[in-house]
Amino acid sequence: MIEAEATAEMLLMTQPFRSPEETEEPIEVTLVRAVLAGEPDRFARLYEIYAPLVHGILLARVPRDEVDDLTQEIFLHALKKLHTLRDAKAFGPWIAMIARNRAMDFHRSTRETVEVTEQIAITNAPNRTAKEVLDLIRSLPDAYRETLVLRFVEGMTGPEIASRTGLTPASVRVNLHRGVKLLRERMGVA
Amino acid sequence: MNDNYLWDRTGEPAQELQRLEELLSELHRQPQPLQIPNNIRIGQRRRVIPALAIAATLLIAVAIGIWLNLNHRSVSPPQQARNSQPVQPKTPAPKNAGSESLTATTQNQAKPNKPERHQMLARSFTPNKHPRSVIREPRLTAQEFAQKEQVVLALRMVSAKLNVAQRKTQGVSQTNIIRNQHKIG
Repeated sequence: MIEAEATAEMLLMTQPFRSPEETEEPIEVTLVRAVLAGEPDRFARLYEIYAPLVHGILLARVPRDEVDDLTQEIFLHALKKLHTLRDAKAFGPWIAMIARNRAMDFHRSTRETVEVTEQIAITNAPNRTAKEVLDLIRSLPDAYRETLVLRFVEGMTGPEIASRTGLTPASVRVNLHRGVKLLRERMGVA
Repeated sequence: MNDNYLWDRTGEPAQELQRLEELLSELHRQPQPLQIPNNIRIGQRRRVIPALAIAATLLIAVAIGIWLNLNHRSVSPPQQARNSQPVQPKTPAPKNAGSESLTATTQNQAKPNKPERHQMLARSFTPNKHPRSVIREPRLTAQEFAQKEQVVLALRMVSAKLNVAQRKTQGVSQTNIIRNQHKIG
């Protein structure tokens, strides 16, 4: 009913139409503009908001002891290159892409990857450590492992994952369901 | 499996998912402040490239203008010279005409013609600064012009005959092709 009234107002042009983006500016837009205007301290707030995202993306791809250093490195790189970001609203997807690329570079430079085999899943069935479960998650396809880490390790909800990575909520929902299903299979849970 | 709990942690929590959350929560990021070095430079949008592009465009425009101007100047003088000198006899009039015999006058007329013609040809083959823009036509006498016309006419006839021969060898006349195209279309 409200939607119908709003549409009628828009069609009749009784009230000026304002999109939600115009009324509420996302916080990252304000922060990015402030940093570019010469307030680098405001970048710390962006770091607080997006560090879990970058941490989760890295944790799904690189060894755990490298994640913290790489997270710092990625944010410093982002700060240097912030002027190249055309749309401040896309800060999340932008820094997520930087993190994914950095993880790929890390593997190219080291070439030391530990393949998770089915043996882990079979031998240590009942009481697994967090590291073992993480290894199982890492053995899943890219889209699933990233979403699962963000959901279970970083504690983000589905809508949060969607808004910060730039994925559609439907894609995140599908990735979560299929990822959990695959994980259960690999953990040997019926 | 509870869909809502997996999606946004609402609804009835699933035991298995809760256990997974608890287990993996120990891998959660330990908050660390971002250490921004003092000497870090936040890049500003580069305004050098647009400025360079504008400068390059201006330079090209100026260069084209200069080239066109020079080209125009180099073309115009011969035209003026040609227009200012209407058809004149190329042989200079002999100054002492009275006492000399007819043979002497013919020799005098013939002698200056040869070097002038030679100079004219040499001038036409001299390297030019703007060879594309300046086309100097050699000055022709009436007889030479008639001969040239004959050659051109002969070349046209030969060309026409060759065209006819080519059509015959191909076997299909142009009119047929057009007709067929019309039918297909």
